[in-house]
Amino acid sequence: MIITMAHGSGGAFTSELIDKIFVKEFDNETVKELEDCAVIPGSKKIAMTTDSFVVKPIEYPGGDIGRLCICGTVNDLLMRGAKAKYITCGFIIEEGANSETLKRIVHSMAETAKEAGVIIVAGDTKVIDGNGGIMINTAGVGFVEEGLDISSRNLTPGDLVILSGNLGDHHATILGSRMNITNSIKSDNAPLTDIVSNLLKEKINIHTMRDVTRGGLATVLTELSRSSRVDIKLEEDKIPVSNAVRDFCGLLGLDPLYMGNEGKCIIVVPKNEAGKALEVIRNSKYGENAVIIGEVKEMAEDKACVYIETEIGGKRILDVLQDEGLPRIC
Amino acid sequence: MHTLYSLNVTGLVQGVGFRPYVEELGNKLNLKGSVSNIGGQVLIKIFDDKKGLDILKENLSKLCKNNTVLPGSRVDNILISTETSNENPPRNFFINNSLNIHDNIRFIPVDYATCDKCKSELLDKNNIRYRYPFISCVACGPRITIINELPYDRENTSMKDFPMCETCETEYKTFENIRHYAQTIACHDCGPILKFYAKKRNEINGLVEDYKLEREDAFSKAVKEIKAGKVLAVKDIGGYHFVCDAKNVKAIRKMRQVKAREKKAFAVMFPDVKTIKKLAYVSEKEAELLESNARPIVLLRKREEDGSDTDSFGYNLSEEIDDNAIRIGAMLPSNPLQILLMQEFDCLIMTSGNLAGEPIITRDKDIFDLVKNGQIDGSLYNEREIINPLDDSIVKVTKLDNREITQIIRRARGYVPDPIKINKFLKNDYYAAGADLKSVFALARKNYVTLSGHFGDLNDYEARRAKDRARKIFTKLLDLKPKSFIADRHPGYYSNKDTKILANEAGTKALEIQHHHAHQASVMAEHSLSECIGIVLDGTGYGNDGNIWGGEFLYCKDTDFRRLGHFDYLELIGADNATVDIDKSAMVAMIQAINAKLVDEELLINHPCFKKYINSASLDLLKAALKEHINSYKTSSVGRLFDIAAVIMNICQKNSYEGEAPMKLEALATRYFERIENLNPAIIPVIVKEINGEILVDSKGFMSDLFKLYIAGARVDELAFEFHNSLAKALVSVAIAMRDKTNCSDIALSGGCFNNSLLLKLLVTRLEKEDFKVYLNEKVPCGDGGIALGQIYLGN
Ligand SMILES: [Fe+3]
Ligand SMILES: [Mg+2]
Ligand SMILES: [Zn+2]
Ligand SMILES: [Zn+2]
Repeated sequence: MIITMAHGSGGAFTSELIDKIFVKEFDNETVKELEDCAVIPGSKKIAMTTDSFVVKPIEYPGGDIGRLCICGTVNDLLMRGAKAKYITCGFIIEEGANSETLKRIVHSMAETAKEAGVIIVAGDTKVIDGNGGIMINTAGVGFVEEGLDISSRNLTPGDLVILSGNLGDHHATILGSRMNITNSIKSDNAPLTDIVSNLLKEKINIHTMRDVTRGGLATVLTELSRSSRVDIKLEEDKIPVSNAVRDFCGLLGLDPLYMGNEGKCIIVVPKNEAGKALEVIRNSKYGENAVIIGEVKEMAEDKACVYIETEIGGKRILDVLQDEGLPRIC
Repeated sequence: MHTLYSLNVTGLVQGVGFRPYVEELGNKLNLKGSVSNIGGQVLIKIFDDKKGLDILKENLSKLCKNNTVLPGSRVDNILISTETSNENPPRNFFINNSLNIHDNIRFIPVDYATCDKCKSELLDKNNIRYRYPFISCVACGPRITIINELPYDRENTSMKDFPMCETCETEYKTFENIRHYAQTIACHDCGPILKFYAKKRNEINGLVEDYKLEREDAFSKAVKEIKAGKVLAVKDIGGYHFVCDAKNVKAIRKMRQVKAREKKAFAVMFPDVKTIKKLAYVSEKEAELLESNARPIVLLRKREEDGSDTDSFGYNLSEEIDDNAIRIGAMLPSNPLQILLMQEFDCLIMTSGNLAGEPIITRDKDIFDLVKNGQIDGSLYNEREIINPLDDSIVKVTKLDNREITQIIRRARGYVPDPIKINKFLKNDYYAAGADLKSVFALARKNYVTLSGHFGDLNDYEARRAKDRARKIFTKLLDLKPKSFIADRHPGYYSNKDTKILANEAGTKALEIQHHHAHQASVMAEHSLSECIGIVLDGTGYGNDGNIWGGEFLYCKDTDFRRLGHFDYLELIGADNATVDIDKSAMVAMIQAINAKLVDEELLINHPCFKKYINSASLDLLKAALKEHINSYKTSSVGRLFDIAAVIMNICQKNSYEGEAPMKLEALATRYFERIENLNPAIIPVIVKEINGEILVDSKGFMSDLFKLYIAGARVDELAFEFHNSLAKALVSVAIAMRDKTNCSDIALSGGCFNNSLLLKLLVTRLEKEDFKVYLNEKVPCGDGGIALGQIYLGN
């Protein structure tokens, strides 16, 4: 079935779309009610976030926009130490989209939500002019335990920085798909629920967590160093990148430090808890390749900065991502 | 009221004992007044005595080239002005060291190479400073590198840690003594002490312990170690050097490990010009530069007679030193310690003491760490602190048809902080940040621009800190309060962001200047031009259209410019990586030539470098990336064309150091040109066309022709020469087209590509034949080290 403007009219076609695709997949009591809004239980400190997903292509090796839109929102909630609970989703579908594709995506959303332990409680669909694209906005709600303070301002000199796994997979996958290149690289899109809940369960004193998405590790750490007014020192040979991604990046001159990921986070903890934290993360789903990549330092000059010690002994300063692909060497 | 006569003396008048000479003369004539150094000139002030003034002037006029009165000096011009003054005349005639202030402009002295008088005392057994490695006088010794604050008095320099002994103090106070009022005066008893530090294994308990020596013991141990093939750190005026025997291949290899420098040439120190002449051609001008106060590294054409390096020197300098370059970086000793060392050796590798990509090391502790880690074998040093680090300067002489010009490649010790005078009065104090690589900043007031030393790549943590520190101390020393701030437009430059912050803190906005506009303006600043056309050939600069420029044809008037044309855009992949993995960049260029049907893809199989890409996953990836514009950029860079041409001719496939491929291309072409000795018409027809009013050079066609000639079996050296020759010819067509559009015949050439002497010669010869007046950089580098001067000149 090809989706047309009629599917967004609010009439019978719309109901058909909702019943056949959404309600079927998002199989839970709240969504089945088809009310104007979801009424759900809750009593703690609430964490809320929203994000829009416009990835092209919408299906790619290792995932699709459905999985991505759940992971993105769930991970954002998790990074403040929240337990992710509820998700809403808004679909903006361009005329000409194939309902089979939509079905696959919605199915993938449902699977991912299950994996991440969240319930999709409400949704919306609009159809617009266009070329068959699908865009999704998700909002998420989670609960935060009283007394938990995980924030970008909490970095303290002496803390160690743990990265939950290899860099660059998602970005490389999307670029590869756009170029129609077949290789073994797959997106890392994944919910980080297991990592975070295990860390909280073990009462690790987490100072800061951040998912390493757009702009990559360099951007995320630079922002953190500025918020906390500390320097961060990384070691080049500790940064994990798979061989396939390294080769791909090498030829295209891409720097994995600036590439986006969708299932990776950094966790900053006091030095004395780093060993235990690393063990917990490595024993969690999607945390098998976690490593300690660096250390938080006292700010040496009047500007906070992140630098990486290169294998030949230099210190390269990292920054937030600039215009992609512009050379500086004269 | 008094009459005050001011004499501005220009010529070779600094670092040659000129001021003590004038002081002596002035006192003999009973004059009241002073003599001081001001921005490369000497200023003499005389009160009232017109007759005395005339005699003094007559004496100074006799100091012509090769005079025997004051060897090394040369007075070119004396400009006298007269004014009435209510200032009180001094009681005598003295060297005014501490008040080098003129029209509100402060002049901080450069570092002076050891003068002849000190050198002979150093080697005189009967002198109290015999073999004292820190001998200096009023005419020589460190200055800017040890100054913390003005006035230039001992307590404001790092000599404050070494109080004068009685003997020195007496000399300090005695007229007609060469150390009268010499702030750096010192001797064996009171000054810095030469020390040696290494690690040694205790033969009894096997533990590694510190090994320390002093004075002559330190010196002779260091000499012994170098002779044994060790790599030592030796502290110079502006920073450390790493030193080893230039004849010991193993030592040189070890040096390459220490600096993580695979192939790039090392500078070599020789005792005198005579020794250098055994290995390289030294023209009169080159000898003058070698012996000039800055004692720069001079890049000299190596002797290669009979196709071998062997000659009267008695051995080959190994290829390990210079990657078979056409020129050797030679220099002479500039301080007493180096003079003593060069009594023991006839050549030493004398390379900046830094680790790959980092600034020169100045702190003793940092060197000790390297010794402790076993990275270097020992350190020959002293405890005088280096406050303002400065590397050795690098220059070369390029012979044009009718003249020789000096090109400054790195403007540092001996030149910095001499200001450059421009014909423009700035409305307030300026700071210009320069570029991000080979970073040099400028501070300016009125019509004087002071440039800093080089700081390397600002993405390096230490380089950034060194630049920040230098900016602060130079601002203080020059007593400037910048109100105007200028930076390059490149959004990815640290200097761009940093300057915006500085401007913001000063309550203003930074002015952003396009990179190549600044290059051209650096020539305009040197030659006081307000209007000119220009060809700027360069590696990388952020363009006003968001593309990467680097082969630009600009018309500049006052502070504006118009882009009349450029080298046609090529698309390259992978940011800075495209400048290193040049085989990939060349392949990407060939894909575009193939897509444009300029080259037949089948031919790739015949090419030693491109054939590896045939049917490879890499080629598919590059093609796809080009099609989808993944991590790619469009560029008119001529620097990249040199890279690509070098790959096409299979001369070089990776730039293991900056400019490796272009330099190898130039070397081959130059050797060929020297053999044929005349200028043939160009054989590659490079198309210059005009599209929508823009002058465009067809880079794709040029590279395609080069490729086809190479595949057809052309001689590589001839082809390398033809690359230069055809490029030059095309640029003449460009210049003529620019002149037609603007009616302007004044043409500036700038940008890093003009470090290429052959290209410069071929182009200038042709342009002058077409009646262009050609202007070049001679005071600042044509590369990014000169950008800051151009930026200042464009300030409004
Ligand atoms: Fe440049
Ligand atoms: Mg997000
Ligand atoms: Zn002297
Ligand atoms: Zn003394």
